[in-house]
Amino acid sequence: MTTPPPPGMGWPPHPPADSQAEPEVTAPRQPAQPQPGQPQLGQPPAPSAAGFPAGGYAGSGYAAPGYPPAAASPAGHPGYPSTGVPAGYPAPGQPGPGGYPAPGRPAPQPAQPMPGGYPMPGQSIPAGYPMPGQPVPGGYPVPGQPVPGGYPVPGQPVPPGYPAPGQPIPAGPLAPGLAPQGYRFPGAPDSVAPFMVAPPGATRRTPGWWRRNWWGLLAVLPLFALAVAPDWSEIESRWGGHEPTQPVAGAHGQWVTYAGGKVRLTKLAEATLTDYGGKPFTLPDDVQIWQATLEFDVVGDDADLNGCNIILEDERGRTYDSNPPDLSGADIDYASCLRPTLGPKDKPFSTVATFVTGGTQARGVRIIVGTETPRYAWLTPPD
Amino acid sequence: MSGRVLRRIGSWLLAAVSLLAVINLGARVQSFDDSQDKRTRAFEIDAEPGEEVRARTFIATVLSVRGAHIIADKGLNHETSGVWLIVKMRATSIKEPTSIAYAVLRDDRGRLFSASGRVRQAFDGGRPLQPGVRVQGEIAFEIPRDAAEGDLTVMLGEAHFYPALDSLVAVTFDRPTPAEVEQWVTDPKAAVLDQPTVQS
Repeated sequence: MTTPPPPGMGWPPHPPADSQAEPEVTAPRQPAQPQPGQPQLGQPPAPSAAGFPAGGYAGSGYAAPGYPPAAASPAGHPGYPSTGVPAGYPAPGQPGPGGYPAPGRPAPQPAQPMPGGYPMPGQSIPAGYPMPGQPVPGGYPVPGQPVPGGYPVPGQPVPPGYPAPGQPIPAGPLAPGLAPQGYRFPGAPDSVAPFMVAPPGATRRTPGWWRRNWWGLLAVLPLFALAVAPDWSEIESRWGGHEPTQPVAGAHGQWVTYAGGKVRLTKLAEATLTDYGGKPFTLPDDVQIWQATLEFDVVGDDADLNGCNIILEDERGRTYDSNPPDLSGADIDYASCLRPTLGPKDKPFSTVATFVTGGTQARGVRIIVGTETPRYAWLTPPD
Repeated sequence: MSGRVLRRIGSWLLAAVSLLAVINLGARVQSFDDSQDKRTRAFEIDAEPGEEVRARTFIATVLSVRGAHIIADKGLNHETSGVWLIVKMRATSIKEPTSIAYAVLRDDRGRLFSASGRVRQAFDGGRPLQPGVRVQGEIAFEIPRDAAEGDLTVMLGEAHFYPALDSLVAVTFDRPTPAEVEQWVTDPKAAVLDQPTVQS
């Protein structure tokens, strides 16, 4: 930052007050002819006028001592002081900074604003802006040039996230080359930070993705339900309708109503069998034979329960068919849900189902009718 | 040319190259598998003779193989112009009653031979297996002599037809010696299939 010369520099030095030297009296210099539009100069100054050197006066632009002020305004030009040069303003004889009216030249008309909000001579310069003659920080406009879109004009506060003129761009989220979301650094080309430029003074960032789309996320669940609901019955039928997954159970050994009739399990235990010759029917030691005694109460011969399957379930959830081929040769009845042909028509009837398991404990019996799935009767023996 | 223009050109070139790569990859994927049979093939589980193999619904062990010229079944002798290949195996179900309805022999030329329908078969045809109850028996295949002279693979599955997209047990036997094949073909004694029995 170059310091303007102190007031008085450029003026010819005057001798000290106690000097013994006779002041040199010279013929007064003829004042410079004023330029068109400049104030008229008056008579040469009297020697030793206060504050002014003998025998000379300042360069162009300033009213010489004793001379009447310029016709347009006192002491030269509007805004310029009659004495002393404000800090930052050019000393007499030096050119004015770009944009500022040079001394001696007409100041902008009162109706014309200073370029880009720059202060009038004599006014204070806003914080951060350069002194006249200083270089303009990167990206900021020089006086007379327009302010880039979104940036504060001189005198306005700098929005959050913007670096103040002359300050470095902070690191981190505002890494060099990256602007805060929605902002663009001064002078940055669109391709570097092609974000929307926020208006001056804007302090709010653009809402994030979650805030912009919360309504859509909330709508996902009801829309999914609406999409699935019309076909739900078909989905349920296709995925589980043909498998026995819904037990219809009762208390141990009690009747269970199922498929148009009632059924209960009266006994479930291991059994020893004989073959048709009366000899023991044996299997390997680690194979068990179970028998389940079932009682049916069905009215008529057309109930769906008549076409049931009898399945044993063990403690591990595995299932076993009744009367398997492994019992071929054993003297056992064929288990059926049909009423015996020769039995009474209006009373309950019973049947015995035989199963073969491998090293496990039986837990109960399932009665399954195909037309009733996924429902099935779950029977447990009495305590 | 400014940097901005160069970057734009580069973006377009990258997009074009990416699009061409995706199209090329899609064409390759589409042409990779071109048959319905291949897409729905079974999941083969390879095993050795004597090894217990766990399929999706059953556990099987192929124990041994023997050959014969004649099989006696229900008092009748069934003679072949090729070779009777008799496979002994043991199986059980895992969680619920199931059956090994698919039993096929494959030779080293890829030919497939189903279990013969001329004799009673222990497992083929849907004999239900109970969980944890192991049943052992034999299955007979009628094959040409040249098939018996190469490597043979026994394949077992649950479905009656080809177990598409399901597990398939595949057990390969070493090819028999020419002397063994000759003995099978010329043996005058009728073989009797072991009927299924419950094993411990």
